[in-house]
Amino acid sequence: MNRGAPGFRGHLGGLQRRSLRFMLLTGIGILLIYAIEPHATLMSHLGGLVLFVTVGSVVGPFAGGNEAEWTKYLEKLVKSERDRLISILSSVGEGVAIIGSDRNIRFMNPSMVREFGDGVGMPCHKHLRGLDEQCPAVCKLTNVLKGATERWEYEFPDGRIYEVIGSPFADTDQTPCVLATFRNVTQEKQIGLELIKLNQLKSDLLSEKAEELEQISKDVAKLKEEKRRIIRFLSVITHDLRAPLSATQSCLWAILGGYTGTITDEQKDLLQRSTRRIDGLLTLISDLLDIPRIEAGQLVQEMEEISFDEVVERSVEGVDRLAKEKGLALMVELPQVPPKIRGSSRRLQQVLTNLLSNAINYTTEGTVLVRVNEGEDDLRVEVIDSGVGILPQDQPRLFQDFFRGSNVKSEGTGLGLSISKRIIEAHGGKIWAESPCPETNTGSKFTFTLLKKLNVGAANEPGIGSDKVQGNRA
Amino acid sequence: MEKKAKILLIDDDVDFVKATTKVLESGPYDVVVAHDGKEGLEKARKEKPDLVLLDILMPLVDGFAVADQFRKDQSLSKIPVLALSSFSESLGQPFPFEVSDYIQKPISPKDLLAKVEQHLKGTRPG
Repeated sequence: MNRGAPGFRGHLGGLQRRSLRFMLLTGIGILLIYAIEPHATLMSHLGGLVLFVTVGSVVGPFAGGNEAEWTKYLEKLVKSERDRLISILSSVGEGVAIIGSDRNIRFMNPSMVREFGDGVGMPCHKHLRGLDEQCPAVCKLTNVLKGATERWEYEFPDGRIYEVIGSPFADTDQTPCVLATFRNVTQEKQIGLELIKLNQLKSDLLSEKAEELEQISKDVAKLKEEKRRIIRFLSVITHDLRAPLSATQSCLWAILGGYTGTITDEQKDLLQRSTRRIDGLLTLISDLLDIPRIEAGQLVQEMEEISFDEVVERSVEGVDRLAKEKGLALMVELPQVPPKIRGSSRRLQQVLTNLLSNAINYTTEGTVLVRVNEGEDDLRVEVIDSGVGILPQDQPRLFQDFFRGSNVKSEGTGLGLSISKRIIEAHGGKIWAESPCPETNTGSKFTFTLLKKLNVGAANEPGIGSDKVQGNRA
Repeated sequence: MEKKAKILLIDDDVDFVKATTKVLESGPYDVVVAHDGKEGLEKARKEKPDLVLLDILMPLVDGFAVADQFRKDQSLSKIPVLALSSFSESLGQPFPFEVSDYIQKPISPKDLLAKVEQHLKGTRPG
């Protein structure tokens, strides 16, 4: 704009006084309106201007006065207003440039100079972009020169990005120009890009996790189904292996019992040997197939609230005859209030029966004692005998699969204690042995604990209800 | 002479049936045999047994279904049904149907006769 000032002065000489006064008044009017309201809209400019010119043309001829003084005064006013505008533009943080219709830079504010260097008078594409030809935004410039406002971006090879807003602007020489503001948006763009990347990453991660989760739940369902399949399979296998042995055993027992006629003592002896071997085989099959069933979690399905007294009673009943045959005293000590626990009645009975029959089998004289103590959180069940005890070297391996004590001769699969350990652990308890029994200094003592409040989530699976077989254990 | 109690033995295992029949016939019992669930139900309706020994795992109609029919049929619902199975004892999950008792195979002749007698006493007057 300051560049336009000399041209403005050049027109002065050949004008008539009245016209001159009129023009000066008009100019002052514009400047005053800007001074009063820098952000005035076009319409208020025009309105103010019309008012001012009307007043000026009426008042002007009567104002009189010295013409030279008028000129001086008005020039001063114009200069101060120009300075004011320049200072406003200079204080703007964004780069501002005025580009002429010849594409030459007419004005750069200090911010613009700081960003691009002083290039007033140079073609804009040359100075700003270092191009010999017109810059790629030439069509935008053309549009602005025609009166449109355009927005575009310059990306420089060094990575800087500028947002440019071009507005039409008439310079003081009345030629159409482009008033362009340059805003460095490099950081914003980068942050924006990072954000987009981060968002993409986030959604990628989320969908990845969702897929993983879906896969895991599929795997879990598959495993559960697999577990059910194994349990079913094992039940059928157990049945099919046991059925022919059961039939054979029934036939042998029918002969042995004299239901098919009398047999000789020799025949009886051989048949008895046969039935004992079949018994052993039946137990082995059950024990062997018990292990994977317990490990597949079948126990959890059988758990319910039970009275532990009943477990003890039934186990004792089951081995009573054996104890009597050996002339052993079988004693039971229970807490005054029958303890209730959550567990599989049948499986706990299996453990206690196993411990009791071991105790009876390995004891020739004396007593076998079952003692139940109720603690705050658990039950402690002890089976104490006055038998042969367990050799120190055998003790660490006592609960291993197929382990048989080196000082025992009676028949067995070597699976009873290892199955008992699995059952107790499935109930959240512990089982261990001491020999000799610390209290009696003889025989052995087996102890297991049971949690009173067992929290097993899957305990109530459908299809396996509570005790519907009535009189089963009578 | 007291009338013999009638026992219906429903089991597809012919060897087990033969041995068990021998044992039961030593007592005051008439034994009727059926080899599958369908035949078992037919014979139960026709013969009106005093007690039923019922195998669980059988072809055609299995023991579960037979026991279910017994409970639903008014003419049969009072007859004691003893379930037999070669499932290992440690399988012994409560079966999803009602029976009077559960017997695991093999059962010694003595124990079998005792069970039968016990359940017959519970239903026969006198």
